[in-house]
Amino acid sequence: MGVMTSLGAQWLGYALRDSAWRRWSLTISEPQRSSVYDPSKSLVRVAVVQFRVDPVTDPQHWLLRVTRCFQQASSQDADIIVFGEDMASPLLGVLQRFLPRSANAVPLRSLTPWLKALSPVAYRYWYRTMQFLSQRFAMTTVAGSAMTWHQQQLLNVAVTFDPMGQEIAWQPKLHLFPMEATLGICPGPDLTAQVLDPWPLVTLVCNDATYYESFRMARRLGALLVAVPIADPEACYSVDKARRGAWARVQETPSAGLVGASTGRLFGIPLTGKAGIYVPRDLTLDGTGVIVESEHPVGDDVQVGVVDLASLADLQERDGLWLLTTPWLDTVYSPKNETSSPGADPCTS
Amino acid sequence: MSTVWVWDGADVTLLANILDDGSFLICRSVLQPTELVTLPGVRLWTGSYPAYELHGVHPMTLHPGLATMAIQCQWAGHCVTIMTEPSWSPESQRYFTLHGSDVIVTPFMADRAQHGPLWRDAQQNQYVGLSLWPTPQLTLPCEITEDNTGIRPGLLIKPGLWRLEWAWSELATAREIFAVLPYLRQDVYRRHPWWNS
Repeated sequence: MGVMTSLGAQWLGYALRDSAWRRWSLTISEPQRSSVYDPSKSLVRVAVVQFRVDPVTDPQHWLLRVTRCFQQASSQDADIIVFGEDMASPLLGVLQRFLPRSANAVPLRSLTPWLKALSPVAYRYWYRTMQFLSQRFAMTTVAGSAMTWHQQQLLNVAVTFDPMGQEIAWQPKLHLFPMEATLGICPGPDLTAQVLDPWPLVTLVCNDATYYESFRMARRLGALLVAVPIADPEACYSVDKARRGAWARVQETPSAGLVGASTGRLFGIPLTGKAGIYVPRDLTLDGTGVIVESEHPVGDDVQVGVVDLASLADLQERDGLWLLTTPWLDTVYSPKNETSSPGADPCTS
Repeated sequence: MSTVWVWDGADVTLLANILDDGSFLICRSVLQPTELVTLPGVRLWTGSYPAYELHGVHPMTLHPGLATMAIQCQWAGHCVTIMTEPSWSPESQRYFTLHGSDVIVTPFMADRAQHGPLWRDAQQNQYVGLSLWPTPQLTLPCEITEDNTGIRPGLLIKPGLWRLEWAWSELATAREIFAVLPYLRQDVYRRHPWWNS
């Protein structure tokens, strides 16, 4: 197995080689933006991306589709673009004929050594591409997330770049799905320090938005915008199930949830979901709390909406109940319950 | 199957009683004894508001208005929390869940809006939520409602009388399909400035 995975990593490295990437990068022309970039303004234009993450056999196909998303966002003067979860995994498709065909065919656990060997190669390619495009399009870029091998752990990491291409957030997923633990993924050690410049933006990952605590922490860091790349393992989309994530969290912790969604089929697991921008109900005229949302839960889409930071800041200021509860958090999470939680650090158990 | 009866009267007095047949009765109205004995399986109860005066069960006494936030009782081996205040926070709901509540009753909260606070906290804590306004209904994890909505409407048995039913095994199923609480990260939360802000 060790030889096979090592060979796989070499093949993947060859398929994602520098020379081809450089040729592609030369084809990306500087876009003409009609608006002047101004981070001090109250209104921010956000593009949220819905992206199919089915395996690709040629990395060029992936590059072109990602570029197209940037072009669409740029043509609508977006300041921020948000992609979905597991954005680099499609690149593993170049080795498709060597990999298990579906998660149903093999135990998920058997994929772990492959992910350990291959994901860093795909991660670097994804990282480099997103960094390049964020700079070229001068857009704050929540690149989505990708798996990588870091300090002897397989992590699912979201990365955000500023318009100059500087990394401003590197955030591993904190709250795993049981399926991910089976895959050998470890939960992130902490909510990392993130640069809230040029926008008051904190990035989390998918299931982190199931927990109100994530948004409370993000708010404490100063976030008005919380980006959440998702990839929901649901064969049939359910709007109610979808509302349990970022939409629900921004109702409790006034902020805007910026959701990029990955759809398609990954390791044989069907994914559905919609990209959207969600705010507290009171900030939308129709009371839905939805600024924009993609129309269909499958396929590709780019939606652009405007978030009013001043309104969010005002709402946060008026919402003081959460401050009253913080002195009692020790009581809420009493030690006896803490010891029963396997989520604390399953990788060391 | 667990059954809750709701008598949907005009008053807002809350009475809760465990009936002899093991079902649970919640009334918002002051019922006449003659009305009660005509209901199937219902016996007279002896308690009355404010005999159920609320005190001291909730340690998050933030201000006098929240001091009487809830009463708790055991029913069929499960802890039931009855909220008496509309004040709601995800912290309080996490507290009740981590301290054993499987059922949260909100007799006074108007939870009309779709995906309101009770719905949201029933999802992230995976408990049974029971609301009375505008009509009695259960709020459950989406996984165990037939249409994935997380809502199971009460059944109108006769004018004013509603029956709400679920099986405890359904909660276990939801927690197995989509485990939420086992993946809490107290270790991270405790280190974060939010904890002591």
